Amino acid sequence: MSGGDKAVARTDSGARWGDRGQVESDAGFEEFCQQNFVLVERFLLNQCPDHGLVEDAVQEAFVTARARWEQIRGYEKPLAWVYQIARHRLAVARRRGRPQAAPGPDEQPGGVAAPVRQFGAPGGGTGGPMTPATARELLQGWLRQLPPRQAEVFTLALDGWSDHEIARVLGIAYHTARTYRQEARRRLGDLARRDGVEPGSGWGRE
Amino acid sequence: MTLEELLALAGDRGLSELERARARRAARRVEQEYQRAVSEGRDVSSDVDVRDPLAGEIDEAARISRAAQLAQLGTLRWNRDSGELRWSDEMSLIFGYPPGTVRPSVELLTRLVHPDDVAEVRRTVESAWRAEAARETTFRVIRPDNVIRYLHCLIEIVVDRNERPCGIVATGQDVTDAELARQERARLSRRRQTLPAGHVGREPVDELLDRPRFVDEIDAARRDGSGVLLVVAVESAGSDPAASIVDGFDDGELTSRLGGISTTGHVGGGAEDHDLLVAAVGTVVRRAVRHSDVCGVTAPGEFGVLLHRTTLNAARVIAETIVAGIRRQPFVLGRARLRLDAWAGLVRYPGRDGRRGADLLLDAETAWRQARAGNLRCAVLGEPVGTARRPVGRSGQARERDTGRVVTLDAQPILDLRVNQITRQEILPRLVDGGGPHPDAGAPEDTERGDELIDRWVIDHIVELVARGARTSHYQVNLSGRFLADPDLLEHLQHRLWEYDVDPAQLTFEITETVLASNPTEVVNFAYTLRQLGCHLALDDFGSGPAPLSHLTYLPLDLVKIDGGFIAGLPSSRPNQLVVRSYVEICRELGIRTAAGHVRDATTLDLLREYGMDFAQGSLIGRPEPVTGPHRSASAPTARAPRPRPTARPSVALG
Repeated sequence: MSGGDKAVARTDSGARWGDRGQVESDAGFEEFCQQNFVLVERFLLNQCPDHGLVEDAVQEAFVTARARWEQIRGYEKPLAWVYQIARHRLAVARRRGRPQAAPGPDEQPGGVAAPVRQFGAPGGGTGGPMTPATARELLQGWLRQLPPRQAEVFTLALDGWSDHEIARVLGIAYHTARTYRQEARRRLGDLARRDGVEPGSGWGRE
Repeated sequence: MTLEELLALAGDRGLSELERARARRAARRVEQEYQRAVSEGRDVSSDVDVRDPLAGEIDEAARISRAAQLAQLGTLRWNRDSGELRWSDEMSLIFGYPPGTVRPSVELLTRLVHPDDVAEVRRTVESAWRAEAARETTFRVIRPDNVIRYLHCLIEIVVDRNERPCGIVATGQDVTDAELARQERARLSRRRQTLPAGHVGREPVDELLDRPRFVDEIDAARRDGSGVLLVVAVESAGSDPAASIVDGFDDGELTSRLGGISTTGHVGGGAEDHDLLVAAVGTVVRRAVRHSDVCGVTAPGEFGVLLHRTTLNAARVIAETIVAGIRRQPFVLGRARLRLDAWAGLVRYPGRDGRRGADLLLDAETAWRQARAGNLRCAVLGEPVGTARRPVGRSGQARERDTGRVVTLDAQPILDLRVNQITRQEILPRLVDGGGPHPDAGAPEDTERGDELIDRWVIDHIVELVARGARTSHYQVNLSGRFLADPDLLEHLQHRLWEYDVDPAQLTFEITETVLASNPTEVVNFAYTLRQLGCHLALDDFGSGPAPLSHLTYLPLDLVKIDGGFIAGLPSSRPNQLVVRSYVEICRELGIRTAAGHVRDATTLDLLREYGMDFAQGSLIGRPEPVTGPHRSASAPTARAPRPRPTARPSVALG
């Protein structure tokens, strides 16, 4: 995938306040929050399996954004700022947690494949059409097996952010964002193949 | 479907109906939380950098450093043109220098990195530079006070405005605790592979057991030491508006589905949903406990967890985590999302002679009901013995009745060579002359009984010492042969550990080769029982007797202390050097740590470090000092007899 940005389908771009950034009032914040809360949550869930911690971190980030809305609403993409804060809040919450629960920075959590199909997902189980939700679930299982920084870079790339933007949101070098995105894509290919998803081949055992 | 198609699908930013409903609620909660903060005068954004991350600052190195500073990470910056190296205040602290006290340079950095890691660090940095790609690495640094810390670094290449590499930035954090924990996990895993099967404990049970099987597990665990039984009860959060988010269900239907978990287990067509909910809550429970902890569904909506060899405090933290996790996490049932309420009940079990498993389970169930009634997250049935109720009447010394001699405890520091810090102590009971023989001295059986009491006294005081010390410190205790022969003493130890809520893994008991040789069967039984309690086991004077290596193959050892005869005079004896080095290598492969006593000079210490010895002890490190501190002053000022307790058989008075 050369230039991950273009490989990513940007659907429903109207839903992105981050792209437009023009907001009139507090009502503007509410709309911003409604449109992006779930997106920020999806981003953090790809690196942290604790749904509760993630939800708390995202809520804290948006409360912070609410407090600083007057300043950040004028940014080209206020969402980038929220991503940064949410990541920071989650890191603090994880540091506070039990030490044995948090793996070291270079230790990949869970050596074996995580269960990728969970309860309650439409089309879960065997067969059934793939929906965005099931695709995300499957991808989440793979991303959690990557080094955490690579997973973060890839999630943002998939979300449509450019390498320069990713580098700035994550506080890493531009070169790192680019190479980690490529490396993550390569590893995902391996994991997908292991789970029976081939480029050009059918899905699963169907 | 191909991976490309799957990624395109996963990258869909659209929200489902359900997600939109959730986002609306989230937005309301955010607004409520913000208004609450405002009304309480709380500043929720005082700690953030309000600048736009996407704007300003062309200099990559400066930008990365600022981000690292916000994340409390240290940075190192090297500029290609000037050749200058700089590091942040945070990094300076990791290196052990107060900020601004030294001038950073490549030479100083090379000196700070552990000599064994320098080549690897250099290779990693060069490879990053050549490939113009990031690299991550963990290495050791030696601080000016000789303490060793593990540092994890992300090494990145930064570019100028023409996107040409112009320098290197390393973002780092101290990961010593995580690294040592990882090493210990690796050691235990090696140990499990090298110990004979059947002696390493039961296999972990992955599934959620039903009530009868769970009770069986409690009984099995009880025979095997002490711990805490936890029961978590789950019910519908009821009329909580946040919970009644339904998409396609009316409230009545939702409630009946929840009823499935809280009351009857299966309601109408909700049986499948009930199973999904049990699995989902089970996941939250499993995530908070260790892999080896047995979990069960003890009743509809009730989950049991057997926290074997866990202290009450640790169990309480786990219980709080589970309850909080269940309460804040929305559960998905088909297209509905539910909020659940939860309470935890805890009860401790002391081991062999405690209550039966079925009774313990009832106790824990009583406890969670108490929690619900008291509007608490968790409740403990039978709180631990508080300071006021702790065994009274013991002084800092015990006087042996028949000889008039007095026992005191000395502690000798042990140096952990991995980090060059004192991380544990050996406790040495010492008999001193206490003012002449007792007038009644003489009867042999009395003397024996006196010895036994002294053993108990020593155990009591050591456990008390551990209880009052830091949770992270570790203590080693030498055991007499008498201790091994007396099963009551081990039981006494178990009770004391339970009573003071001490983590058994903070204690290592040492047995000598001589004792082992004199009664191998007793020692082996003792060793396995001790390990079952959760304490660690060490073999002292290793190498002094015949065929020492054979002991490593069948005893569940965690530590081997190499005989002082090999260590004293090590620098001048080539044969001793070879023996010590190979002992260390063998033990490392077996997952056994190694210690050397009698370390009197720096040359010996350097040799031990070179061999990869884990611990060193001796006059160079520190001499034994009488144990002082709070545990003494808190004791009764005058020596009195211990109050007879159900488990303390002898009633002979001391002193």
